Amino acid sequence: MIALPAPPGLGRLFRLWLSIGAQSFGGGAATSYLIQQTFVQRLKVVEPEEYAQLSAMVQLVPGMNLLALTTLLGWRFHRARGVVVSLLGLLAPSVSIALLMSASYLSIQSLPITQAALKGVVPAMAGVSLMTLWRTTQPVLAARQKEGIFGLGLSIAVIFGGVALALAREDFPVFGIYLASGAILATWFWVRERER
Amino acid sequence: MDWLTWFLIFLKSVLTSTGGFGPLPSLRADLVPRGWATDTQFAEALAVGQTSPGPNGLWVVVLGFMVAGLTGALIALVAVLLPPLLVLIVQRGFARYGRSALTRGFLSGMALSIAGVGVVVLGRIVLRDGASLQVALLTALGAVLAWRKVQVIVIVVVAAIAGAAMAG
Repeated sequence: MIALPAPPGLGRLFRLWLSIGAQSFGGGAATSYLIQQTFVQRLKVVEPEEYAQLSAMVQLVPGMNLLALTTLLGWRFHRARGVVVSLLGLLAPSVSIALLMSASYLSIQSLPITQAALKGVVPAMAGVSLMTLWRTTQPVLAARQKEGIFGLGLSIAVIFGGVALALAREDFPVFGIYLASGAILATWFWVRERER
Repeated sequence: MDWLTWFLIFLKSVLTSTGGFGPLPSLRADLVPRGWATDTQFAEALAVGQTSPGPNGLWVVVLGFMVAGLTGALIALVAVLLPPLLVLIVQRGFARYGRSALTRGFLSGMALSIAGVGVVVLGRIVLRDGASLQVALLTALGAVLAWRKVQVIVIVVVAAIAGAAMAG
């Protein structure tokens, strides 16, 4: 087994995350790419297999997966201090730029040209969001499809069941829909495993 | 502004969802009926939040800023930061429970319904001024450009020019 290079010190770790945070225009996909490229390909301080395992772990927690991944990598290198330095490095530039952009937007918000431009930007961003949602859903559906028609059908039924409930009542508690959907597929996974 | 309620609403939305857009339905359900935010502010926060660098989910912090200023944004940021820290606990039990059928099934089910409900909520926000061919075309344009992996900042510029041209 080849020993991994020594992990970056706290100062360097902060600068690495700062660079990732400042460069990552293009949302989550761009940020994930930069993280993997920095720690796995360039510095080689994390093995590809371990990185894949860390990426799987972050799927198990609520909230932004990228922040969980940043937390795990920070912990891996320097425990609690590593977590603080990593999150701060990733978020300081991106949050500052986001807030500056928000303030700039609010100062020109009422201009007719801004309103006209926004009429184009809002639906286009909804389209981008739809594509992002599809990119998270598609691998789940593809995995179910491989397992057979019932799994795929059940998954599609879960999606449309949630859509129907959300359409039926605007104030429907969304967490209830999430829990019910999770429980349905968990039951099916469990039954299927018992049959094997 | 009742800052504790504000924090709890944001925390709940992040704790009960995954991914950058996951908190959207819960936040909208809690903020809009209270009169604390409007669909227009949600639309603007999604647009500005996606244009800026970093994870997609930072649109939540932008929403906090647009609705309640710097304090609102910082409280939203804390709420966004806390739930992912749970991964440090998950890490300990991952070898034992992480790959179990129940865990994988539950996560798959949640991911599917978050996507379904997310589409409905996005639809409500985009259609707040009514449906039109322009809205349909621009939504399709955004989706196609994102599918082609065009940089979000480029999509924003193209859509802004298209919006201004259609209005003019």
